[in-house]
Amino acid sequence: MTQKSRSSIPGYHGRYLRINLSEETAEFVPLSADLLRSCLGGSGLGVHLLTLEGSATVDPFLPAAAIAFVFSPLVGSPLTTSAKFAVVSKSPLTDRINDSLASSHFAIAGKGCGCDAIVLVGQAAVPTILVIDDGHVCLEPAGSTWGMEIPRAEIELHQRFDDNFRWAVIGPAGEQLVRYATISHDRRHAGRGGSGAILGSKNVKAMGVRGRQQTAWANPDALIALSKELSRKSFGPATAKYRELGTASNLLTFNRFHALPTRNFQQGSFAGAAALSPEQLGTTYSKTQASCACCTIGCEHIYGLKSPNATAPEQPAGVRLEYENLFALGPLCGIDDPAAVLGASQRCDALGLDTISTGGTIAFAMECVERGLLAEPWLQFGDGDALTQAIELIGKRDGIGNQLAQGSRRLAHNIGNNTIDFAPQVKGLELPGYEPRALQTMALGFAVGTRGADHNRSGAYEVDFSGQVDRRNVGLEAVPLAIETEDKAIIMDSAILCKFLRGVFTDFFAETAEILNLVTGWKLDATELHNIAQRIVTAKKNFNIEAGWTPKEDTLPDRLLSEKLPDDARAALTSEKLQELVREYNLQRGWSADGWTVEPAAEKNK
Amino acid sequence: MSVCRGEYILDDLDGIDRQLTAPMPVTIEFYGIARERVGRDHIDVEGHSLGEVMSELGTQFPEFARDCLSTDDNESGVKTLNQFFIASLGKDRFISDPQTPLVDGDFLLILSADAGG
Repeated sequence: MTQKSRSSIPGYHGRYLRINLSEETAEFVPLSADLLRSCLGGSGLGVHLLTLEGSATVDPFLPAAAIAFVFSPLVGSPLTTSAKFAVVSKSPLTDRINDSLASSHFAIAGKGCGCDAIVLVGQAAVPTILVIDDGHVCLEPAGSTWGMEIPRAEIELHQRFDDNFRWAVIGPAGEQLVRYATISHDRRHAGRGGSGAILGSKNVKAMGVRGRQQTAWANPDALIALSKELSRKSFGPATAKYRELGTASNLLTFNRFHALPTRNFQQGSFAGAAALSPEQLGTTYSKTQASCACCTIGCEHIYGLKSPNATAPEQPAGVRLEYENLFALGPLCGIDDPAAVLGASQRCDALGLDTISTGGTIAFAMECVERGLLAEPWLQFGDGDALTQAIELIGKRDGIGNQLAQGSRRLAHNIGNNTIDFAPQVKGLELPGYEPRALQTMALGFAVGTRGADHNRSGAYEVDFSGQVDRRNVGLEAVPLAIETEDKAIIMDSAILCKFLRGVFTDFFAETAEILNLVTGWKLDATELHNIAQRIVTAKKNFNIEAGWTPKEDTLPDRLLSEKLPDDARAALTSEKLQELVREYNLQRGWSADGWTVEPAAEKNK
Repeated sequence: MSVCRGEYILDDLDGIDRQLTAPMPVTIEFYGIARERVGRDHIDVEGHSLGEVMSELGTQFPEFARDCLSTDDNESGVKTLNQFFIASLGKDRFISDPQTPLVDGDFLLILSADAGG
């Protein structure tokens, strides 16, 4: 039976649950209406909570480091795609702020425990399953689940606990503190930045939530009507690409524009792309589709795969394919074998590994081998077996896997020989599948992103594909456009709504304000949402500054600034051009030209 | 010497006009949903402008017309892509003005306006 929240703030419970695993204590901490209005929820509230905990100056693997699971005012509403939440922490890969978004019933059940967020600090004494049952917190021994791959662990948890619990689970990669380990929620991963490793460092194998406390809505009739209209639009042409083909349809498009990073960003197009395209895969593999919880778009495209282990029936027979895991485990590693790419994706999901960072780190290692700088001759571009073997070694941190588990930046520092020049990362986060030299507004988005190189925190590629700029020679006119996409992403990650919904909005900020107002009773408008976005990005920047950020981090790998794309001579970017864009970005954000939000004393005294 | 008259009258002036203003063959490549609607990855179409080419595509492929072209009328009467699709002239620039002239040998790429994921 559902219960009504005692909160007087529609859409919110007005508190978060703080659990100290070391002391085995839990408390509800109030959140004021003013604070919630200033940051909404999700990513925005998450960075506030992390700042409150002082996490910027703490090693992410220490018990004092916090990790926050943050919901939003829209969770539990009838709005399509609203069953989402943010996992916010200091990343063990980048040592900078990290927010991962995921979609699952975990959001609804977690908020149903009577809180707007769950913050974990401390470290459990032994491998543990954390259970939150409608506000009651319990630590259970992880037992045999510790060491299990994610699919098996999820089955075990469902057998051991009531079916109404929803789970956040780490795999062996998280237990082994692989710096880009994920947290799985119904097989959808809070993927980037290593959140899974943080749970692993806290000895938490899984977190289960069960609760039915509902928050009120300020204008339920209008909200329901708007929800129906939004759902109707979500079936239309704005989302057809995701529904019918999935993001994997980007592959051939990017390949044609030489924007498909290939062989560790050595080229922008891949001869084997056609074999990996969804158009081709659909003719040779069975395919089913699925949706996230409470989503009407249905963007999950699951390709059939024979179980690699006949004695492990829990190993899913299919793997969800997105553009990013397709590019990272395919062209980026020079692999054109669909079976190898699908198999590698499946192993990443089972072990709990971010596919982008896995592919990027392995591709970097492959180039180091190619150049004679890494003595692992079996690790060659184009070798699917080598890719699979590398993934297994990373999951166990065995042999070279122990170094690969650190990510490409740390691996480059270990190898030396100026390999950092071609390590495909920004701030330590491996680049997603957008070649910056061919998409130069995106290049800016990558360089200044507070999480590192990230296509979800900056949608600047939309500008490159719009005709508003010359994508291979952008000028300062690209900067406000890039900021607009960044602000939109911030609001979508804090409100929270799925980015695949963005095409249904005619005026995103005004319409999102209307949605929030119907839930909360506030009178937000587009201007205030822009201000909130600015406040949140500044909060993230401040977190990073406190964590040790310096202006030299806002750049791209030297390869991308000194080498033209061999397959597109017009696609060239220089450090001077990029820094000109970065300076303009900083100024338009209201910061100093170098990116300081407040001029540091050392700078003032120069 | 006398000057001749009328010895060089051309009978097929209409034919010469067609030859001078014949539509240009343009290769169009389709990506993503546009490819799904047309059922092929490329086609050669004749037209002087982006609008003419889109109109011809709409005539040949009703599903493309339904899902990829705008239903709004414009002054010239030619069709344009709707807001969910974009056209690239070669790989160099994105175009949307239906009056954009096309010449022999041009190729257009039709792709989703929502290019990322």
